[in-house]
Amino acid sequence: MQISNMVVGQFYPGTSILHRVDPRTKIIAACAFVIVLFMVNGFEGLAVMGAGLAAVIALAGIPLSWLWRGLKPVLFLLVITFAFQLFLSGGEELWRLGPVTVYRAGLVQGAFLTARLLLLVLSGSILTFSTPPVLLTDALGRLMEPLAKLKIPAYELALMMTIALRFIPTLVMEVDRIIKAQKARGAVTSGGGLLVRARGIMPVLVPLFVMSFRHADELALAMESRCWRGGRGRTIRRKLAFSNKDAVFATVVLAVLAASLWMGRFR
Amino acid sequence: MSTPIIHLNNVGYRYPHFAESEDLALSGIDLRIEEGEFVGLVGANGSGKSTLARLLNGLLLPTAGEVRVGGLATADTANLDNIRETVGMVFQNPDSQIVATSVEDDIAFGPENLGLPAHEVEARVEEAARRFGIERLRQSEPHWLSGGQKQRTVLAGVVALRPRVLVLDEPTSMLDPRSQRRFRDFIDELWRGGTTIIYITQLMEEIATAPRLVVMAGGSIAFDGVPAEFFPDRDLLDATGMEPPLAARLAAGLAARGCQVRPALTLPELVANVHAGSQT
Repeated sequence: MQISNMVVGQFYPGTSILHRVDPRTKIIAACAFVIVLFMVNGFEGLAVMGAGLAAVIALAGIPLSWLWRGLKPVLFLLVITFAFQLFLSGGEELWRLGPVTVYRAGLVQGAFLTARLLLLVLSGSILTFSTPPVLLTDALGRLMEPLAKLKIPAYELALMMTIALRFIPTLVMEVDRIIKAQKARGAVTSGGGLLVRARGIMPVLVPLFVMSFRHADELALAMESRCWRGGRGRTIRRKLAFSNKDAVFATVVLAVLAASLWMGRFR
Repeated sequence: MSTPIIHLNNVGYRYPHFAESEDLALSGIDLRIEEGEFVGLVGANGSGKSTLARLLNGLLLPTAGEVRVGGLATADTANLDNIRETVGMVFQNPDSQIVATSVEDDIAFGPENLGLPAHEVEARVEEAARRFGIERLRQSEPHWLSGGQKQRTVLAGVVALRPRVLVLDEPTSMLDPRSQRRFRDFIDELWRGGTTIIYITQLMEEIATAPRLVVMAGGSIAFDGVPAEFFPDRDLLDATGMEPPLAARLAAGLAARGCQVRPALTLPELVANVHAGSQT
């Protein structure tokens, strides 16, 4: 693992409108987008949504190579989805290749589901591409604030997300160190069959857990020493404020979603 | 006599999972620390230094006797908010003390907990970052920082609470020599500014110039006085498992070989003594 190149989250720094829109607006927009995505039937609706998404990507100035980086981990899932639909459906035959038959309905269904999944992943990616992780957790905390009335510790949950983000690089570095320490003592941590590799994971996982608990223990002491007494009464330093940009952005998103709903469902 | 900022009266502590018959982590500790003092706290591993440190801001509560901070007993939970604001604490490993994903967010964590107005939090972050030379790193993520920069971030986060007492538990043990020195210089600066310092360390060089030295052994205080009285005392050193700083050993070694060198505790002092000896 190349630790020095590691980036937490996938934030792509920039100053576009999308970067400057309130993160809460972006989170709500992404959620609405996903809901509509699952309501829309037919390619016309998806096409409108895809065009909207493409416009947003262009607006944010996110390069295609960066998009590709975000897509790579789910590529396998996309291919599997497509292949699965392709072979399983019945109806009009398109081609027959030995034992494999491809049906028209399967092809259409596969293409549709794959496109939907692609748009789903992209919409989530654009949110993390254009919003620094700190703002994202801040905004989530603020959006969850009403939940505090239901005795759900919204602020604490947001802090937990922040701490998780904060400790990912630390733990990755520690995994690296543990692997080196185990290798130095002759452990096999890579290569070999599945069984060998599975066995190699345990000597890494156990120390990692022990270290994590130690970190948690010390962090709790440090936080208590720094007057942490739960989320109540804390200062909210970073002011999140809706502006005209948010109104414009929300209107455009609503228009696109309404158009795709009309195209894909109610026409 | 005025109220000492820290007052331990016949304090004992037993960790909860230890049986009655086993040794106490601390016993019979009497300690008065006046506001503005610099106290070096040393002792072998397991001598009870860290346990003592954790009693000072109510992270642990004494199982015998009483700990008072500015006159307030730590045993009364109603006092804890006040006590934690008075006594700041820096631990050994900066990686397990940084809470937030950026330097400035981490410095702001303490003041935010106090519920200070946003502009006041901002002012304190600004001041603390500038004071410890990390103002250019304010937006940095913690994992990009060097060990010294991380520990200075931690220090800034604690100092932003404006504590009157600063307890440091081996804060430099994970830093390289240059960062150690720089960190130690910042502590001296805070002390000169009026902050009471309690400095725990394994490096005798770091407390050789401390006006007051407390040495722990087996859960009790074995020595409380000036370093110049402790380090020449071979019996006391053996009883507490301590070693004098390098300069003291060098001075003693040279004197044993017949050189005209007076005892010294720090390198500059030793250099001056050797120079003075060669002039006569």
